[in-house]
Amino acid sequence: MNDLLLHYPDNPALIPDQIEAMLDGQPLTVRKYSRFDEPLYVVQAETDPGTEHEVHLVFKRKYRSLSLHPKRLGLSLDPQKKGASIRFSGAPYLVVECDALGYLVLLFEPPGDIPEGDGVVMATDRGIASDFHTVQTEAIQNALNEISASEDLHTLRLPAGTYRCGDLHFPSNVRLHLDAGALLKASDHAKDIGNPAMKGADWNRASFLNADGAENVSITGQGIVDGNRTVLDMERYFKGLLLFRNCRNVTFDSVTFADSCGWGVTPRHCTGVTAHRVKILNNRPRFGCINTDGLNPDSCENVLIDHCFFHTGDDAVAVKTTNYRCEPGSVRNVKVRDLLAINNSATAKIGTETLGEVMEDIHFERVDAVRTCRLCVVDAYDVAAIRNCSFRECHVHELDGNWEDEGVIDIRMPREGMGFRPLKGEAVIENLLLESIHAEDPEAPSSVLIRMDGDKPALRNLTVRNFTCGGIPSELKEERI
Amino acid sequence: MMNPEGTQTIEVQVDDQRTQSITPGNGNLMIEPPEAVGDLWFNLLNNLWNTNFRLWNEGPMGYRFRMDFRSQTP
Repeated sequence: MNDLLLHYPDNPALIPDQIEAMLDGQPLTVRKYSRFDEPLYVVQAETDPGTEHEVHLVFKRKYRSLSLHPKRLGLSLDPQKKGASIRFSGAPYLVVECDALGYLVLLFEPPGDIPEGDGVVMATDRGIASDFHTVQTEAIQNALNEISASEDLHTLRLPAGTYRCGDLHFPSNVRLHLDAGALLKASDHAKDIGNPAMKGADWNRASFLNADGAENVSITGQGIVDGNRTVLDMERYFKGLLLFRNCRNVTFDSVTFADSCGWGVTPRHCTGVTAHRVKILNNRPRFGCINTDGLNPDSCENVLIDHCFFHTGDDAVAVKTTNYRCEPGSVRNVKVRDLLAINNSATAKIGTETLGEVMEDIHFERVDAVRTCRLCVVDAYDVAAIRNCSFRECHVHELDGNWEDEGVIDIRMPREGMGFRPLKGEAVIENLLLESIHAEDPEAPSSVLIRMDGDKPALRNLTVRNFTCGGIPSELKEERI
Repeated sequence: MMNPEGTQTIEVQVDDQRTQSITPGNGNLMIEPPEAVGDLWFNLLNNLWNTNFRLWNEGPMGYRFRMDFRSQTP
């Protein structure tokens, strides 16, 4: 067992004030994101995938109910004095919901690879030192540039420690590896944010991590990239946490992206994007919506989002084709599988921006929402032809429509005047499959809501199989607007 | 690469060893740089940056290799 949250000495939020966790008899660090509108508790540890493990939880407040997610894994909470224990094997991502405290996220990870060898540059060898206060943008950027220009180097490795910087811009052929305990955190000060031309106008602001036209770029390891939204509010500085544009062959593996000012991870006009075991922990209010989406592939081809956990104030995954600082492009071959989410708007979504020519072969599979507003969503607001897409084995525990209409399956093709922004053309949806879609709550909206202009045959070949709410088969219903 | 009699060297041309999935010599490109001697290895695991998109996907894969062999008589 390896406690992956043990090495963040600069963060006072590590004090376990309300929950204790033990894995196989060893204490685990419980990290509390108290800066979020609704606190989030996180445990992260390496486990041996071939062994059965037991995690024991003690809650220091009186509670009435505990529940464990995702249900599909078939695991159970064994009640204990002041808590519960869970037996599991492998390295799952789990959420325990406690009515008195909120959500505790249990992130169990397989042992990760640590890059070593001649091609690996240790940050300390380039004068980059762990320091919670010193901003080291130039040193980190120089190291990335040096690796890119080198024939022999390929990886910049940040050991456990805290590293502060302004916006970084990734060149080609670079892997940034954050060891467990490494925290790469945006500076507290606006003066550290480079490229003033990017400030100001809404969609022209920089993100914390950027790339444009690069290839073979990866961010790996069990460390944390922190957008520092709490200090750098979203209206003035960064637009989002990561924006990679026009890139080829991009991988995010094992890393945690936390506290984005806006959208979390956005690949735009990229091809060959892999997100594996990525955690996005963004601010999420109890009520309403804040625009901290998780991972939004925008005008991308060949995208795999695999075994991830997203906690967001808006959508978890929204596949889009926008015109933000670019011409809208088509979307092809996007696969999202084994996604666990807590979010305030849509969990698995195509849209809302659908401005490109085609969005095809977009598939969501094994999606579990602990709490969301809408589970499976197609918001076809613009001109794109959306075809050959599917949602399979999707499950929602709690639907909460506190700020917009809730829905388990929600297909919207609004006409002008019905959306939240001016629409650009008329969409077509064809060959859409929804299979094995389940809501636990028998009071959840049990119809497939299709909201479209009644005069246009814009939805062709929709198949819905095995859709239940509270175990009761549901129905197909069209709502003409 | 030596033939069984050890009398002939065959040079295998690989365009860019950093970006190809093929490396002569040592099979673990992620840990050690390739050695241009010995057996010929096909490294289908990944590349130096972990960015080989196809290899993150499940299911059957097909690869096509083009190798140019040039004989060198000692």
